[in-house]
Amino acid sequence: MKPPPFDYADPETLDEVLRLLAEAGDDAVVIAGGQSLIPLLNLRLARPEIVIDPRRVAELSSIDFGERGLQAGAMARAIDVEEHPDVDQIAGLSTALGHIGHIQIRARTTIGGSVAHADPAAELPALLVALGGEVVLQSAQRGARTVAADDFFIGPLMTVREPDELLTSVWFPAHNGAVTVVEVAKRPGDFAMVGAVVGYGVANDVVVDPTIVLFGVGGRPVRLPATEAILSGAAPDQDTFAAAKAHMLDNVEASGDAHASADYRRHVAATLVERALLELS
Amino acid sequence: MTKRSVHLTVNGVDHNLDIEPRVLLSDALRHDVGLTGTHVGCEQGACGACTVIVDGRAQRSCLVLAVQADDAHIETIEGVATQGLDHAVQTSMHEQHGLQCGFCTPGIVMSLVAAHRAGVDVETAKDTVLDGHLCRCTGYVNIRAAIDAAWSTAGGDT
Amino acid sequence: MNPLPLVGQRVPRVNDAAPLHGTGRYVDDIELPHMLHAAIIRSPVAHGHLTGFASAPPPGVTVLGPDELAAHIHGQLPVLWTLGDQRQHETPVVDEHLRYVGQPIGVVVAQSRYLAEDAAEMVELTIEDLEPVVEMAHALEPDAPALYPDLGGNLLATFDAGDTAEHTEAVFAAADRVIATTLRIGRVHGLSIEARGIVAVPEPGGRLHIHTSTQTAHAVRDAVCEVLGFAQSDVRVITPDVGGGFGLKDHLYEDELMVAIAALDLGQPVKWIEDRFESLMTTTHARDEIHDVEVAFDDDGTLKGMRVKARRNVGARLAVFGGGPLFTGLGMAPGPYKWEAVRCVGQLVATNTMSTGAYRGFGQTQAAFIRERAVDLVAEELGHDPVELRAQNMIRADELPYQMRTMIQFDNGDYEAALRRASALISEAADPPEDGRVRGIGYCSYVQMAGIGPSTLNEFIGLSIGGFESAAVRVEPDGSVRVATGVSPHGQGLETTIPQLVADELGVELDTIQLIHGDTDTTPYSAYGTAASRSLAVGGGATVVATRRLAEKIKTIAAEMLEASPADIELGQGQATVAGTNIGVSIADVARRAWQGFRLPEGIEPGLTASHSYDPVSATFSYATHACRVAVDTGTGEVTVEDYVVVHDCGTIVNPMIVEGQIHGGVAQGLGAALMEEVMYDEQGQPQSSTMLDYHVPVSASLPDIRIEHIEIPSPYTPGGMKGMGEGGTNGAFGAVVNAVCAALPDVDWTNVTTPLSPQRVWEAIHAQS
Repeated sequence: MKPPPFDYADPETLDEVLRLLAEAGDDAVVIAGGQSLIPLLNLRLARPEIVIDPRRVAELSSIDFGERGLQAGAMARAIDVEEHPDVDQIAGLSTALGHIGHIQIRARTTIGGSVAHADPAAELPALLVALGGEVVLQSAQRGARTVAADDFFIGPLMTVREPDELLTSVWFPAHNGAVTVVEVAKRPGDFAMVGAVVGYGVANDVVVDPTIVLFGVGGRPVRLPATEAILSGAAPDQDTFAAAKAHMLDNVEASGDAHASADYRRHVAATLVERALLELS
Repeated sequence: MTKRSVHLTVNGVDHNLDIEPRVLLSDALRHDVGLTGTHVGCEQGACGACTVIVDGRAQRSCLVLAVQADDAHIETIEGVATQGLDHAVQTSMHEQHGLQCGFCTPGIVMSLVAAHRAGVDVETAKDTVLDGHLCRCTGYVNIRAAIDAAWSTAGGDT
Repeated sequence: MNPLPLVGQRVPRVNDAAPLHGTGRYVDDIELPHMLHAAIIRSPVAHGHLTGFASAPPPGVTVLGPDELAAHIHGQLPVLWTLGDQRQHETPVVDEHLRYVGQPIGVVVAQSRYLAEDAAEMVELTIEDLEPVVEMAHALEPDAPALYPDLGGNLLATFDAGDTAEHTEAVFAAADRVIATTLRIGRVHGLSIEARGIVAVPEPGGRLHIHTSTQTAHAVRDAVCEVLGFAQSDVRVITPDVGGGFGLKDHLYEDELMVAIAALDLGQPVKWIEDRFESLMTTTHARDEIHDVEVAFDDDGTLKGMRVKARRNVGARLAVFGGGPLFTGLGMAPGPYKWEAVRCVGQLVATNTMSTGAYRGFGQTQAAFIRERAVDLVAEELGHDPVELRAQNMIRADELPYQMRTMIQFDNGDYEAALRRASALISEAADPPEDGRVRGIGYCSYVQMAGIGPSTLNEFIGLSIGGFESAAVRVEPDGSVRVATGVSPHGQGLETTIPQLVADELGVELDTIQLIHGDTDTTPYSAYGTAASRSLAVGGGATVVATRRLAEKIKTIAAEMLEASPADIELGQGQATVAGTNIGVSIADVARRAWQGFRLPEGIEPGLTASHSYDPVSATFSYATHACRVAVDTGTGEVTVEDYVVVHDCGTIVNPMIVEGQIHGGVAQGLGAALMEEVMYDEQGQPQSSTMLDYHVPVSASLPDIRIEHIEIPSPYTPGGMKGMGEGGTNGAFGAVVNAVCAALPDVDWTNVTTPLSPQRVWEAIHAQS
């Protein structure tokens, strides 16, 4: 199908973007890469009055790798981050990015767009939660606020972002230890039926800073603090990882849909996590 | 709803279009610029038939609003061969029988041309790049052979 | 010195330049002055009565609802195959009884597709909801919602093939053992990358021109004339470049007819291009069958009898070939084996879903699968090697021609040679890594009926179209050659392979030959176009005969010119030469003389044309064994096909490169159906597979390289020896991949199988054990 009619604005300053957003509120959508929005427009499932495009606001495309982490402007393209020489400073980031769609999609997908869109099967939101990252939201009326990733996501395609707020940047903290992203999809590049971001460090021969976040199992990324607690301070070995898996099998809640049943998701999530833990050791 | 003027440079030629913001780049190229070599298979970004090169990167033209491509440099299938000389990808696709009905072909050629120019290695071209394309006729076997051939001809490095 | 014949050579295709340079002309590339654009209004419900259709279109927009459309409709869409007690023989173009989501109701025409869709949204439909029925089991219940109350129930036909129930029962009773399996074959979508499309152009003098992405221009013309009441000489159907067909584009659809009506109503060209969302909903689906299979066999592995009871979900109405796919599948179920009894009963069940119709394989994919799965179960039951069990029961080369229990007579071939070779090749696959996955090898041996004909047999089995193909060959005054054919390439490379045949017969260069196809004004009538793996077997056969006649005429005229005997004339390198000498004339000189009409031999008419309608004496039977190795991740259910081999025989191979390409593509489609492709509906009949992200076809990573070996035993029937093979890849791959998964998981109870074997299904099967 073709998109329904809408107005379009591509202002040159962030202030102007925010002003338009405040004015239009629920009637507006912000277009970043468009790789999630335009499919919705093309099915007429999204019917905005106005599409606001921040592409001319140069500062929103910044990519800053520092010792403590990556500060990515919302409009930074996934491919530009993926190909950045410093991308491996953020554990798991390169792997997560590589799972997003296909390389031709990543040529337009933005970091901010992917996070703001909050697809329950998406990798970047899960990675952000796993790393304990943050987003910055800005509005004309109330200025900027920082929201922890875990507080940002509410449910499928739902976040705490107010209609008059723009997500302007994403902070990926560097993690102590290795991180990997694993998933099961019908084909490479498809939405994950179930996936996990798994990471931990090792200090004094025990696991420290474990992080396990599932995606594709419910409406938003699901952190597993109880499973992480099993790993914390334990030896990074097969027995520990098997215990983590067993705990997950008994406790993880997943939802079922046309693509995968709850049972499948729960079991496979546990299997994926165990394998990821082994892979990282 | 109000039309916008959009400036596109397509295969080196400037075009000034006056179009609604909702017009997809794929439709603008096909119907406003008049280059119908770029094909539309799904308008969901899933099949890759509409892939063109925008500012050096292969992208889905069905997932770009033409207005977003204002002032961009776009290359389509019509512009790949230069002065009658085919790109190694075009030659190899023909020699290896990498196309049957031809509908998905322009998108695949554009992705591969972009990858070839960027020095992407042959294995990455055969998986990461090619996996972004659906072909229903060839079963991909000969397309992979075409990639091997194109990458190994003089000028195709890595 | 004669150059190598072109037949058998890997001649590069002559028509690649256009898609590689973007200069092809597919239906959406057609731009005509004053052309308008259409959008189709479709039923939002699976079952209901349309009681109101209201629109107030803005200026510049035209809306044609059921009443406006009905004024132009004089007939219905035909069902060209009648089987058993079939109760539906034609289907309406417009119907107030809505029977599936997406059913076309009306058409909107505007300056652009964007505007037409805007206007379509404003049309108000009043619908009285009826309870939908989606599952066959439900549809067959006595109080199920009736799609056709006048036809008395949703069972549209029952038919059978093979032996009597009594004889079959006797064979079963005498056998040592019986296995039974229920195989549920998922619904699939052919998913050509180019969806459908039409440009309808009213022409002066009351003519109508239609450009449409079709496999079968003449059949489209037939349908247009039948429905709209045109004389056939007033309608021209032109086929542009076609981006894939696979059986989906084997007829004219209701929405395309509505677009034609709109064009006639407005007096302007109207274009409609189906988008992917529509296509997944309303371009013919396929398969969706349940087969209950029983095989009777002896302890020594001899197969004795097979019983198949099959139901096919035909959706809201019979597609153009009705129960043909199921009937063909049941007829071919015996496969390359000897049986004492085979009895198949088929049923066609209507539900509130899209019609299922022709798709690569046309039932033979299912037939191969159900039989080869059953054969593997027999092998497992006896503890026999699956290859040996097959070989033991195969019809031997010296036993052919061989008539199956279902009356079909196989021609020639060596089924066991293909099996043995495939088995050897798959065992040569590199050792797999130790990665925790389990592996298995699966086989599928099949015979494929191709080149369907003769016409008398078609009539006998209930088809209302004949089985011949025609070719008209013309050598132009300058010696170049024009071949007009009824077959219609859409990726198979006929633009190259038919000229290869002609080039060898006439001794001329390939690039002097042009294939004319797809235009009803310039091509001979064909009821099929290109379908049913018959383009080279039958279309090629017709071309060879016509060309040979032309060759004789050329020799006769050349002999006159050279004062020699026609028997001494040889054709080659564009010349007609006296054998053993340098004395000759060019084909161009002969042609010029023929078209001048000067001093032609006695009894020879001026001109240089020949045509032939080839009605084959029999269908042809290509065959193969496919073998593949899969790896299964038991923790996730993911299946990877690691190695794949095909050993096949399609008779004389005109172009091995093209044949291999057809096999690759067919294998991909079979693999896709085995592992990932599934069209789904919810209980309300709402489509759940509406985008290409919901309906999964294989990507490159899904397929390994495919090793192919050719056996070439020419058809005893076809002039030129071709058998036809376009569908074979699918026929073998579906069964081979499923069998490999079952072999990889021997502890799983595979008594019954449901396809596709998605990761979840595989995982559930594994975990059902524990």
